[in-house]
Amino acid sequence: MGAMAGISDGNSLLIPALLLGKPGYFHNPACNALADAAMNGSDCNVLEITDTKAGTFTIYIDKTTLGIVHTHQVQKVDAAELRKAMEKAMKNMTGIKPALPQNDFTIERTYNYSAMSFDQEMKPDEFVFKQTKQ
Amino acid sequence: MVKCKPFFAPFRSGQKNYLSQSALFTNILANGNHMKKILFILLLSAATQDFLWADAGTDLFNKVKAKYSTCASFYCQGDDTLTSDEQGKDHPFKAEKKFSIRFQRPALLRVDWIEPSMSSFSPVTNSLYTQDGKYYTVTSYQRT
Repeated sequence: MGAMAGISDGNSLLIPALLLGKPGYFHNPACNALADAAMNGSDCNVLEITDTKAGTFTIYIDKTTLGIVHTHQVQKVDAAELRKAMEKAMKNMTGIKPALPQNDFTIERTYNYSAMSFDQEMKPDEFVFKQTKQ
Repeated sequence: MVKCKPFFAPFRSGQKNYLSQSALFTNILANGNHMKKILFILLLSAATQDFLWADAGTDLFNKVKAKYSTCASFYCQGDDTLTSDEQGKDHPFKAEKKFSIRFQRPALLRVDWIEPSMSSFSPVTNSLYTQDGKYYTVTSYQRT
């Protein structure tokens, strides 16, 4: 949940982390192979990865490219733990503060990946952008 | 330490003496009664299968990590759906986004995503990028 409130809304924690060789979601993962399945038009190996912090992920991996085509994450959030973290983060915050969660809850997050390519040369200007005036 | 009956003791004690475990297995198969043999074979095959699946899973995940952490470049696009029951089962929250990821080694990364605005009809565009391994974000960008 802390990741969801971060600057990238959790977007940095899966594929970008893998690309940069960072742990991302997976600090101490336990991996289990599940039965193969088709997903988004790909013949896939399926993995169930459990991480003590980030919950359980079901990951569909294209057998030919080893690219991740689909992920499904289920995370049980402990309200007391989250309240503690939020209170700490909001200690020096002024203005309207977000409501603190009262009950445990579940987050499910699904990513579908398409138009995937590895090792295709990219031009530097693909990475350039300018900020619009607010 | 968990106290257990002698038959299960070697399985639960985590003993590392494989030679004596092997002798015990042989002993059970040779001298145990019929039910013990069946139970033993079931336990052993279940444990072996779990171990092999976990091992295969870890191997595959390591291969995927190696693929992503060594590729020269990467591009994909996709969609992201998040649901939560934080406001109660009767008031599920749902958020959907579209995104693209581009990456060029050593550390040229850019993630763009677009999501509905809470306060406007125009969707919000965001970027996450890095050139040095640290993450930076920009909101409401315009592609050049």
